[in-house]
Amino acid sequence: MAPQRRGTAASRGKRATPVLLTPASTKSGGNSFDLRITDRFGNPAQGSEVVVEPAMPQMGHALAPITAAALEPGHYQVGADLFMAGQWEITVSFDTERVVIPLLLT
Amino acid sequence: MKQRVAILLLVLGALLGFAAPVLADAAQAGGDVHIGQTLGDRDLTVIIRRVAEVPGPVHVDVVTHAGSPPGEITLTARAAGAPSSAAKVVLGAVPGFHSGVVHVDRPGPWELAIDEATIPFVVPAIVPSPWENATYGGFIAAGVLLLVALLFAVSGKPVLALVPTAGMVAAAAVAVTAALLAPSIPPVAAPGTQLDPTYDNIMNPYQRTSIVDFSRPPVNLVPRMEGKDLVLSLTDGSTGRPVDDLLVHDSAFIHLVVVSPSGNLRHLHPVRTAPGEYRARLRDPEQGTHAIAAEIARRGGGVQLLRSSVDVSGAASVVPNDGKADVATEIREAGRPSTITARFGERNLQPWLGMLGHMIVVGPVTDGPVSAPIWAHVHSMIPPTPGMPDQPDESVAAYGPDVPFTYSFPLPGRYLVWIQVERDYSIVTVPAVVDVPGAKEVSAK
Repeated sequence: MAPQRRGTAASRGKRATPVLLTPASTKSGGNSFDLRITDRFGNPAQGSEVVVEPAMPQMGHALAPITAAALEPGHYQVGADLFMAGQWEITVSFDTERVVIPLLLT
Repeated sequence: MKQRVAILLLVLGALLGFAAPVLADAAQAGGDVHIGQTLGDRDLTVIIRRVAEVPGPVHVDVVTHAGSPPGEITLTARAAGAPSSAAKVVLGAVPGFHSGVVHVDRPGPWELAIDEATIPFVVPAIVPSPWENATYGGFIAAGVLLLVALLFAVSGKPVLALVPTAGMVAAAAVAVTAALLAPSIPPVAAPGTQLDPTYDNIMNPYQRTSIVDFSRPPVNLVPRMEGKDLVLSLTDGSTGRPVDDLLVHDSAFIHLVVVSPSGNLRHLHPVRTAPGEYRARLRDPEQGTHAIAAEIARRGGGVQLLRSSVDVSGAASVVPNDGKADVATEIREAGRPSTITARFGERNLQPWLGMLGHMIVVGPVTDGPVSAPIWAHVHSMIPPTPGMPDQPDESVAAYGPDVPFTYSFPLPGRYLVWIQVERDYSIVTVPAVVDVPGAKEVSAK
């Protein structure tokens, strides 16, 4: 299956920060996310630590947060073991922003 | 004549082809039921194995834990109007599995009594679904009509043969339609989990009801002490009637957590002694007001947390929780996920209540656990094994050694935390204290 592209924009106050999360797989098991974060002008986000917090609300279960590795400014990669099929919630946090991205694994 | 024989063979071949089994979904007979039971001085896990045939045996495993006194218990299976079946199980001094077999003679709502504790369970009936009947019936009718058409054709009445042929086409169409649509037909409400189980709805599980919302009202919890036993009375928040529809969730009817004034934790699984009445023994209790919290799930969905407190007369001091583990914490500010990992050294942990580990969080504590605003129960899960739908039972001692938990502490402050795992049929409770900073303290760094 071709990787799905999932994007969402976080807005808090005046800022709007698009986050584009591309999972390597939509199956349960080992996975990795490609993250592209830009500021409201479309420039790559600078500097801050990006942390991915996977959780499965239906199962009442959260995984330990994982710090994403920066490949280049605004482009991050992170691996996660999402061991169960179902509806996950991937929270991407950086600076003071927290963006929640739903991800359905089969 | 030769031609006719060839046609006959062709038709018979087609008929045999139709007789091949049609794959349709059969009613799922339930799986094993694991239930934790704090029965008198014993902490038991009762496993009611899948009922394979009715009438037939029900295999029951009783798992004892460390410190459980040896003795004998009586298992009794009973149902309204059915002869009850009893078996004695001798519990040895060594913790582990003890088996007993009772018999059930009919499907329906049953009750397994273990001394004074009663566990309601459902013996499902294997009933073919209407669409399964349509599929099989359609193909059988098509086959019969084909034979009739054949007989007409062979006896020289080809025009009359057209009538059963048309019937065969219709019957085959019904069968194919039912088989193709069956997977998309929504499942009916299951007796026992969504509907109150009765003999009628177990025998006829495909009857549709007009109910769409199965959720039920909240529950009132009134605790009291009766001698050494903590007795919980559960009543319905809308009618005041006893609540007798608790589901087994995370392997227990009620997860009862009792925290003593000095911060000693017990995680008990009260036994059902009457409709709406559950009891658990508090061994060697401490004097004072204990904070209690009960996690329950009612039939129809949703888990509820019921908090209360109870005054206990007992000793001035007790043996504190003495589990040992290397606890590594990575605490973030309130509202962000923190991780707490307990390292137990060896890879010999057993699943307890279907989970690798349990973490109870009570806080922020200012003047005791009774008034703490947050009360949480965090799980460390056993990763599912593909192709193994049933959860591993306690005989599998191959998990760990690290037990991770992730929890977002909602408020800053000091929390009492207890991590519980099972090893050598003994529950290990590791106490810890966690200080969670507020959001401002972190940004000021």
